[in-house]
Amino acid sequence: MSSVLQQASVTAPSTGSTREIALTGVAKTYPLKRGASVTALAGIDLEIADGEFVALLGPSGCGKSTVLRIVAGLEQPSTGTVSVGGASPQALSKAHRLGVAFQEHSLLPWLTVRQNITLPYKVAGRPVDTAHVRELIDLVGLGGFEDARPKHLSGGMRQRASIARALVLDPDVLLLDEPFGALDAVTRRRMNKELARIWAELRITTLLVTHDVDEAVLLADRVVVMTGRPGRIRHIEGIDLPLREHTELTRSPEFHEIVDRLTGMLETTKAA
Amino acid sequence: MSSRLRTAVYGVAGVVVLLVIAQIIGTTGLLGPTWPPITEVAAFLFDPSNHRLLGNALAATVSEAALGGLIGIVAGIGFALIAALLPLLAPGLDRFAALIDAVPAIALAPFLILVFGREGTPVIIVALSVTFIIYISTSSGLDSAGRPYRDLFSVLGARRAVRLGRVDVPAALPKLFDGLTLAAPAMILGATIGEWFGARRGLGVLFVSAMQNYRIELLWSAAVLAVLCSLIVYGAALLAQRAVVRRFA
Amino acid sequence: MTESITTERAVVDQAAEELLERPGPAATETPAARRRNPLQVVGRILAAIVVRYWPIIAMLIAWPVWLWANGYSRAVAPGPLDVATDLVQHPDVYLLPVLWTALFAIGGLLLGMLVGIVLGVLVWMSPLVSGLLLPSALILRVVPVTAMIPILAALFGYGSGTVVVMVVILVFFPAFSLTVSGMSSVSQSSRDLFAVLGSGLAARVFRLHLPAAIPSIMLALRISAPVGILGVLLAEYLLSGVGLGDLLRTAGERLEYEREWAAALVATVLSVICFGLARTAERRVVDRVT
Repeated sequence: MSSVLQQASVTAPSTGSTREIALTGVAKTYPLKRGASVTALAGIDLEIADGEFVALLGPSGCGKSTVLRIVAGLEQPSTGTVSVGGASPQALSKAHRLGVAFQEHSLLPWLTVRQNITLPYKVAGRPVDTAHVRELIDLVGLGGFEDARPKHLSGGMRQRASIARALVLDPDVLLLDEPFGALDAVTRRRMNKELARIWAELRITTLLVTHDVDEAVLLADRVVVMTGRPGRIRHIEGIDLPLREHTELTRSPEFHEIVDRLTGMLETTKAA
Repeated sequence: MSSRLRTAVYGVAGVVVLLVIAQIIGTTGLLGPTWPPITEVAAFLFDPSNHRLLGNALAATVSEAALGGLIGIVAGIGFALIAALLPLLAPGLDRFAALIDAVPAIALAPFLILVFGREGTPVIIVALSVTFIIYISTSSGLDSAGRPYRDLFSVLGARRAVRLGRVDVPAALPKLFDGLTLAAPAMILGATIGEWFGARRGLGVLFVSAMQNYRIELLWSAAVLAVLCSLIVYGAALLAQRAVVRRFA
Repeated sequence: MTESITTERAVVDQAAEELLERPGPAATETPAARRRNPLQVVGRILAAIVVRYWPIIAMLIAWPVWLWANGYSRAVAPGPLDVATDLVQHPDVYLLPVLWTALFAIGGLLLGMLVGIVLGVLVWMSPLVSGLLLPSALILRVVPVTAMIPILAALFGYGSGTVVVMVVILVFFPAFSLTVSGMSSVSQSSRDLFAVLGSGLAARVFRLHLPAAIPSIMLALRISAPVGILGVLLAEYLLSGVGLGDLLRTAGERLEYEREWAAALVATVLSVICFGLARTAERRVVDRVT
């Protein structure tokens, strides 16, 4: 299995494995002092199909990052089940089939861009596929910066490297936690379009966590709107817009109609 | 004038002022005959007939400090790695380190003399204080890689030892070298304390015998040597630390 | 260069504090699991003690074993029991030295803190003076106390006055440097606020910079507590005829090993108590001001 995955090229992702994500009745409570507890998530049911791009949209503190951390196997649900690719998240990460990029780029400052992108191979104990790394560096547009260190890169370039690192082992599932949260608005929009282009080539099952409505609508097949305290799913919006990576899309009336509606939903959420 | 240059100029000027004041106190006899003029201390230091006495003492103290420092560095790093790899042992090691720090070195002397002998005691006192500093700085360094890095390695399916080697250890290097800059004066101090308990040679022995025999220039010269040693080791550790910070942070 | 050895030492001390706060394996259990039958509770407490203090327990076991294996007689190397016996049978021998040592340490500590803080505030007011003094303070800071004691003894005599002067000097440096660096740590926005409000120097010092320096000042107190005790013990050992340091030396000279070891133990306990008190004081005060 892993050899099949590894040999798969950038443009032709691996096939044959089930790569959907399923959360059933997931709740998360954290114990406080003196027997009290706080409920972060309640009754989350969500299925993400193979090759689907789903965005979790919600105000900060609504528990959307907790959902992603549960899918990543970084936290256990208090009740309910989660399966990724037909197995537990931990099994998937042990098999090195999970890709992740966080808001903080978490590039190792003492490694070059290339060494950072190669890191997952080292962790998995696999031989480095240099041609693949090369392809990926070009794909995310970092050609010429392979030997630079993270501190010499701009915020946008760091996130490109971070995304390339998430993709390097051709993961079954890609998890993105506010990957552009630290960028300015202009860079953020440009990176959105880049990601749309990259994703159109790869079509990996992807879960994106964001509080940016435009970003969610621009990138996702479906947008899941969450409300906070405790975190619940309020609404799921299927997005069917043509030409995602096209510059004109953000100016189209259909796009704005959806964005306005979802924004309104977030605002009423906050008031509640 | 850039702020760095200004800091340096102020610093040098401050040290010069300090030396001048010390010299004036010495020549005017403001604090009595036991505060010698700095020029006389310098003359004593440069007088070849004193070099054997001072050199022997210096060599003894420096070798104790170096050996003890080496033991302390190795032990401190070793214990910190043990605590990182076996979390069950960490609370005990942390508390033991805090206890070792709170115990006055002089109170350990009877125990150390019995186990390590009078000549070994200075080395062990140095080793103990350096172990504490290095253990604490390395441990906190190993903890210093942020949560994103931990999450990343967890998602990548990395074993604990892989994360330790690839993230925690490189991230710990700046703090480890911070610890080394601190260990520098602790090394000379520890060696001279240890020498008070019956060592035959060393700067610590010289301090006491010079005081008892009222050899003021000798006392001050030995003190100057001790300070210079500390500053040289401190400076070297500081340079190394700057280089490491540039590379790893 | 305000980051002198003292402030770096402060960083390591802070790190030690944080390590002690590391949750142990026993701390991760849910409250519900704790309320069970008494036997389990006792077992859990024992496990917690072993997890936290295993190196000390190991030392206490290894010590008699080591003595026995090397064939040392009790006259040369007293076991834990001999030491305890002498402590219980002759408490009067230890009481006065403990009081003397504590008095010198605490008195010197408070005096040194006061001098350090006052001078720190004065120096902070002038960038020129602080630029001149801080590097010199660094150099004086690395004078080993083992060299300082004989020099001070030659200057001020072999009596108790010298002990006090020495503790004050030892405590002065951390208090001084940490006061200066704490007062300089105030953020630009707070400075701007006070400038916009048109506040005078006194208002800035007493309402902004000195309160901001309180955590650093309390840190200096915690660092100085064990240093102060060690200084007093060393000075008593070499100079004055009173205190625990003196007891350590005379017992050693008279080959009264139980007494020497017991004095060492008492000194350790005193030092740990002082350290604990300083730590508690630091926590209380820092909780109040932050």
